[in-house]
Amino acid sequence: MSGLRVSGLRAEYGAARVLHGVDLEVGEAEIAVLTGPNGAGKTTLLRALSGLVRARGTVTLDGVRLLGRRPEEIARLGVWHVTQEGGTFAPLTVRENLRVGARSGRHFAADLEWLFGYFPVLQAHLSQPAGTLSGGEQRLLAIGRALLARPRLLLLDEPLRGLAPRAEGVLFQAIHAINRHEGTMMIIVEHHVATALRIAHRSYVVESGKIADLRTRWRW
Amino acid sequence: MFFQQLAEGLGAGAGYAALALALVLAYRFTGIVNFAQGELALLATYVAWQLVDSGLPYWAALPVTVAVAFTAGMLTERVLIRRVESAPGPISPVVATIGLYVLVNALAALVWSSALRAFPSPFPDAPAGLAALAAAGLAGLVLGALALVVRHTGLGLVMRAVAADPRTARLSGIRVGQVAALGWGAASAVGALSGVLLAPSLFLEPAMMTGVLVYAFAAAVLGGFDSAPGAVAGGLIVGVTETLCGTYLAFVGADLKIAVPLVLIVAVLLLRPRGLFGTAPVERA
Ligand SMILES: Nc1ncnc2c1ncn2[C@@H]1O[C@H](COP(=O)(O)OP(=O)(O)OP(=O)(O)O)[C@@H](O)[C@H]1O
Ligand SMILES: [Mg+2]
Repeated sequence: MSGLRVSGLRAEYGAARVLHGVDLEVGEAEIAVLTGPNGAGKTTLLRALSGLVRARGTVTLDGVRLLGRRPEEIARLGVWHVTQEGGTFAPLTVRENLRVGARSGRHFAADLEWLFGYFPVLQAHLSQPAGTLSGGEQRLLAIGRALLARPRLLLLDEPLRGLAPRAEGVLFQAIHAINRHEGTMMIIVEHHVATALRIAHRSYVVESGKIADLRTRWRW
Repeated sequence: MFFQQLAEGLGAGAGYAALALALVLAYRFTGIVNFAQGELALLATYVAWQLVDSGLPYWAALPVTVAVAFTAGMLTERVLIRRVESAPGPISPVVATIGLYVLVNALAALVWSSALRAFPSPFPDAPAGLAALAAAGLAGLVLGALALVVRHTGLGLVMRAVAADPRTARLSGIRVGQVAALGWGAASAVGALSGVLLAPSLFLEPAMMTGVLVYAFAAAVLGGFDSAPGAVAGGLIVGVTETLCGTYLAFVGADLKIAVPLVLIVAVLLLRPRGLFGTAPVERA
């Protein structure tokens, strides 16, 4: 029963139906990459999984049903959603941002060291309010927070957006390291398909609120 | 004479500061301006009076009162605010707090009548000026302790995270509803301090906090409405200005004193809309 199973997932904003029965799976320690045209419903799919939008259908994580729970309860079950924008607390310092949701104090110092190995830029701005970081730095902070939380399932919505090419490579190294060492399952929504597929175990194409019929679905 | 007035201004200011801080806390955690904040403080002050009246020593009644106020604030958030929060538009929750204001006020009059009641001073043996300063010191102590908790504990960090961005807080696994209730509890407890500190000089009666609420609003606006230190500084400024104007400006006197905070509000809004201490939103320009 381990892993994420989604079947018949439907969601709408008011009268506008966005998801029309999505089926997908993420196995133990797998990374799934989601691509598809703008407005296809990728962000909405992640929102449905993390409880930000109401949805119907079945979603189980390690056999536990997720739908119908509040976002904070889903987060407590180990799902961490890095949204398309935001994900940081603007008035709090970088250090405080990393602390919220991170593993217990005992691990925190070591976890920080680990993170700074990949993102020295965060260390350089440790006591600066997050709201004053550059766009790319804020993005790295939001993802860094997610990595420190050591979730069971990590949902990343366009993690590369706004990042310089060098940062892209480092970010994927960090993501990959967490995936291998912790067995973290991930769904990565990304338009930079080539980069994302390098670390993917499977991929799905979302089109008009469904997984595309001619789904490219690799396993390796 | 001047120092006596200054001390009394600071004493009154500490009371305004506490209620202003309560308004700011409730606002930061739920985005709602709680017009019933003063009445919750009034209720707590009546509880304190009842306890002292039935023989409990003042310094034992105080913590009990604060605990009761804390609970009342939490209940208000859980029972009332949470239900109206999701109503469309920013007005409904505020109207609900005005409803609560009227309800609590009527309740206080019903239970304790509208008679003026003498309320004990925390420092009955000190001369007036010194007692006022000591009261201000007491308020400072409590607010300082609160600031320490908020700045330097894990719980404080969680509270600041919720105040900064409830959605991101939820996605981080923080039970935002509980934290908001805690914030309203803290607000109500701080507000109770305001009532208890001001009651010895104002006398306890159902309308006691009405004027204080106006002063507290002035103080909060002066401080920027989102800044806790700003609210405290604003309260002290309002208290001192009001007292000194009442004494030294003949045309103000006792009757026009209540206009002083209103003039301050308008002046601040015209000259510095963000308040004296209001934080510019932390964002890159
Ligand atoms: N809050 C909302 N209210 C109403 N409609 C919305 C809302 N959010 C998204 N939509 C609509 O739902 C559809 C799917 O949006 P979604 O954000 O899930 O797409 P996406 O696949 O993430 O696109 P992109 O690649 O551009 O990020 C779009 O047509 C969008 O206009
Ligand atoms: Mg999207």
